[in-house]
Amino acid sequence: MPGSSRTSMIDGFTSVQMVRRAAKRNRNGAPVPRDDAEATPAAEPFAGKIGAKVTQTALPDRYDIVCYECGYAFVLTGHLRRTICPKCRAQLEAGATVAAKEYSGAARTIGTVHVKPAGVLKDAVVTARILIVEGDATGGTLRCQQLQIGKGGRLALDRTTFRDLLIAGTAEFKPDAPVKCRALEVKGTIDADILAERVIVRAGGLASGNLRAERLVVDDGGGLKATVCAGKKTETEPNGEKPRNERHDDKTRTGQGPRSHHQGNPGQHPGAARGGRDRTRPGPLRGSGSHRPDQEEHGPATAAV
Amino acid sequence: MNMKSDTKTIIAEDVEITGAIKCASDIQIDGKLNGDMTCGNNVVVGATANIKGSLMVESISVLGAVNGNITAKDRIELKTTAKVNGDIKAKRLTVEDGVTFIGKSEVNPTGSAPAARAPESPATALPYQPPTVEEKKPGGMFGRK
Repeated sequence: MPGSSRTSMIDGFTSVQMVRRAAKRNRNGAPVPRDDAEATPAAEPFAGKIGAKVTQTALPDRYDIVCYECGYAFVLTGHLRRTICPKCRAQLEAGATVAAKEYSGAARTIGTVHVKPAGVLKDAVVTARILIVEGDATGGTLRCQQLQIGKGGRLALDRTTFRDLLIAGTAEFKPDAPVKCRALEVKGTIDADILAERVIVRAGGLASGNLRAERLVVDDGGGLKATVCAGKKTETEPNGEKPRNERHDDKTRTGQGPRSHHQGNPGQHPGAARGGRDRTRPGPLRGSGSHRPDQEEHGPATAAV
Repeated sequence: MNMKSDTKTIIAEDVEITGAIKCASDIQIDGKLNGDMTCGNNVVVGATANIKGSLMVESISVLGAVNGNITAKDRIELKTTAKVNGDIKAKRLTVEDGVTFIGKSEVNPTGSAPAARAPESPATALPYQPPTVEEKKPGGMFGRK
């Protein structure tokens, strides 16, 4: 039937409404008046509107920041910028540092440090969130959360502390020491004893040696020539850093107060257990734990720094 | 190779076989196998399957438990529920998250021989140049007798 006298144009929604009203009639057979028309289903408010359904809003970027003064871990959302540590109130620089030639000294940032192919670290102490090594970094003491090794990158594992490791596409990494980390992603070639929580071998990558991981993923086209032990609960001992889940479990598993936490982990920062803001201990440390700004916040002191 | 893709053997979940299996067509195992298996085609080890023995196949997709070595001419796929206790050898390998795998792996897709270069066409080939012969200087190598 054509649209009512109140509508001058028939569109899709109007026609659907007319059909519904025609289908639903009262006991007398008269059409249901417009005022008593059924409301549009609340379950699908965007029915019929292409592209109007919103499934997820855009979320800002999240950065896992570790203060290079006190070792406190927190999350920074949005733009990576200069910020202040919530714990020790130290100002943290977020600039990127590039070492294209010989570099010595200290470089501390919550951003990225890039050692170019011609770059050489000589007696340098580098603390960064992401460290990209394409040159000679054997003379430097490196601390980072994510270590990326590019083509031609060389470093000394015993002087390097990292949480995650990424082997770039054209890189060949053959260290003398075992590689212990939380996550390992192989796009190039690695030949080492690997102990990690998660190992991902991408297409074109090749992992050789001995591999022990809780989770192993090999993409189609990835190579694996190793003695593998994957899937069991392996003891993960990353280079000086405790995995984030273990840090959290230290606090929540026992369910006890901070005193027992300090007794169980001497020297560990209370904020390390949660990986976020410490709500239980606003005051200074007590017990056996001591505040060492240069100490890794995730575990006992290591010889890396 | 005669690919019998239309023929597929299915060993049900309640079937238990003790002995060797040899087949040329696709086979899907959901039951128990105590012995070796040789298949010239695709093999699917179901989630309820339990194999104790070596497997030599063309390609295999594992969802269950295998206690033995797996040798595939083409590819090996280890799905999430797979539990493999043995060595694997294939051209290509895919391992999903959650797989339990204990053993040696010998898979290197990039280690295959490169493709042969195409022969040059006569139009693009350079003209033949005979090698030059240096004339001997008088007086020998050092310019004097």
